[in-house]
Amino acid sequence: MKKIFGNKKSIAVFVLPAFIIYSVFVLFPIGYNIYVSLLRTDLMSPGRFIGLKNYENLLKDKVFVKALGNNVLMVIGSLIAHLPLALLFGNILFQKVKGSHFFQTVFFLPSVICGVAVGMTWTFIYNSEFGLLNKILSAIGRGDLQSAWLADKNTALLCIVFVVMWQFVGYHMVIQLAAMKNISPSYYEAAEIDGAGKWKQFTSITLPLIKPILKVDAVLIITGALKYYDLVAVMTGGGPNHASELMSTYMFYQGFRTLKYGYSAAIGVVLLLLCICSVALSNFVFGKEQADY
Amino acid sequence: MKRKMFLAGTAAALISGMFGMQAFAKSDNTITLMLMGTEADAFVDDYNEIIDQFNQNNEYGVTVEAEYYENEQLKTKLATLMAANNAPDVFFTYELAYLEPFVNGGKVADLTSYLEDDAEWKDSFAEGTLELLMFDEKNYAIPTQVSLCVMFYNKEIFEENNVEVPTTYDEFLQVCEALKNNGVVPMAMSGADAWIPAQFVQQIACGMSGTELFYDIVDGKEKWNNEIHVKAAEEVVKMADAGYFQDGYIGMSPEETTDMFLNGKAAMYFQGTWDAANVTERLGEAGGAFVMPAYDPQYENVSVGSLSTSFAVAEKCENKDAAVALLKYWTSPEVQEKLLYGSEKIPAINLEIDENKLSVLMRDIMNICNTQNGLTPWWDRQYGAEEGTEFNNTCVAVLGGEDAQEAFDALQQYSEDMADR
Repeated sequence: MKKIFGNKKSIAVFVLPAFIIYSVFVLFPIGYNIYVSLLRTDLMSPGRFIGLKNYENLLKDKVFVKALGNNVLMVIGSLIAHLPLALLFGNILFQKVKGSHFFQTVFFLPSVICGVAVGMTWTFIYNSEFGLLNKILSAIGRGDLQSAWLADKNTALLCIVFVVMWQFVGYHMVIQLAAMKNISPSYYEAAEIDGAGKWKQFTSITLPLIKPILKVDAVLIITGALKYYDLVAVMTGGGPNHASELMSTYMFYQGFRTLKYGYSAAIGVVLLLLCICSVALSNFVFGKEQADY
Repeated sequence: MKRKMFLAGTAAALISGMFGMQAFAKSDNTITLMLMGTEADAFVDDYNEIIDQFNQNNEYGVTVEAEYYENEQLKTKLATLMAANNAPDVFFTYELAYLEPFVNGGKVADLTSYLEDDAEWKDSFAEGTLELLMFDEKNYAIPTQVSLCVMFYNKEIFEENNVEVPTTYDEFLQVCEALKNNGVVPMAMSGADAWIPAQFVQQIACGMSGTELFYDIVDGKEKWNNEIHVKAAEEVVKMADAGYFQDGYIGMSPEETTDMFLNGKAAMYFQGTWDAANVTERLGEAGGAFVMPAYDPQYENVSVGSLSTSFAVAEKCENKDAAVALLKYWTSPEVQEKLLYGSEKIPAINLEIDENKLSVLMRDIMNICNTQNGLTPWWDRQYGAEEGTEFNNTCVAVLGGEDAQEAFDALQQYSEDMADR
């Protein structure tokens, strides 16, 4: 066995199928996308090479700038809900409260429902006429706060960000909880004997030990929020008047509706660069060293 | 040796997997047809009957296989298939800007010679319909149905409230005011889909300048932010502020809005004639239609309207003669009558119409149709998803509270930026 796996050729043979699939479905499309982003093309007539013109136009495109801003808001919203808030929930359940398994399932449930169904449900909740939210507001005597939530350019995006926060808080909580459960209970026993309170235990034991997982989780959260598509597509389609447009929905719009595939590809490249930057950023913030006790 | 065989096996599996789709290549005897519609649409049954008839009786011995897609789905799917050079043999298309890139890309068959060879067929089409599907003086698609925007109204509600069909713009506003004062919603309007308020703004603009403004913008002689657009949008805002649309209309989906009118909860509803079959089915004798009176009386009877459905043949279709035979059958008097009397669809050909076979509503609509002095296609048909969709978005933004002048200035700016993309 050792002989086979020591041989570089045989390693190559085993890696090759996966590498071919990866190349065909990931590397080649990325390369092709970068190439297309330098063209003005509808993919039907021959394209024209225009260099970086598409990128130049992106910077001047108000809708794209708006979409970029919306994505930043989405990242901030997701980070708040999926790091501190998820950690808080995870930590509460970690304390072996009664029915913690039940709550774990309840929190996790929204993230297994398909995005379109979640979008439809919340569209009904936000509905201006028969929506649950407006009904609750009028029931508690704050009918003056009622609004056409998804049709108002000031609230549409915030409403969607809230749904994203709600939908995935359980998912990240479970990841973080799993990391917490990996920590040996002996640390906590020792800490308790030494008189450390719950907060101290959390900051000095839990947090440092789950930091590697938090780093991975932060990358998932940020890239997920940058690439976000389905809820916006279902709930508002980027409207009203592009108020809730994200980069991904705008990319779809420019590609499949206006047939500006070159321009659309340029948005894709920007998205890719932002995702790479975000990985670098979270590596920088969380540092490389690992805690070990 | 084993290793090499493994490698070869993997490669073979991968390659056959990648090209496996080719195995589904269709035989010569089928024609694939891509249509817009869903199971919920009543006309789908009529379409299927037409296709069955054609399958049984055509001289080419071909079988048509139809697939139905909902509007947004169809646009995405067709764009993808076109780019992959895999378009269905015959497909539903919108006119003007929608079809143009496909034509420029050489994906659509030139039908000019078929029309030239059959003068009777060519002359059967209603005036101005074939032109909407022509590029460089060549025909690339065949119109099958026409549609235009009308004001649907509920005759029972009008009678109960003692109001008459308005003939002037002021009368229209008075009717709205009277209905509102009686506690009836004058007009059902939807703001969730931008094109619905936008077509109403476009209609008001038609009443202010006829077809002139439209064609001046198309020819580049006039700008998007001209005063007529601003004024038309402001008129619609005035109606909204006066409470002539239902509460919360800005967030309501087209389906909810249509339901309001069909359930008798709103007196009027401005929409394309494609909704006629639904109105007749639900309101029966009470369903009627009139032309939105013009703001400026000299521009009476100019409506937003264009083609409703058109069919094009793909360049890669192997049996173009059979495909054209299908189009000829679809635009034959027999089929057009079936769709007119059965599904309330306005024919794209000149037809002797038997009024007795028409529903009450369709009599109104065909009257409107025959008395129009001009039609302006929807902006999003003329310009497609660029300025067209942005015009729609602009109208919704104005209804949402943005200043009309500023919003249309932004649209003009967008249009100028767009020229460079």
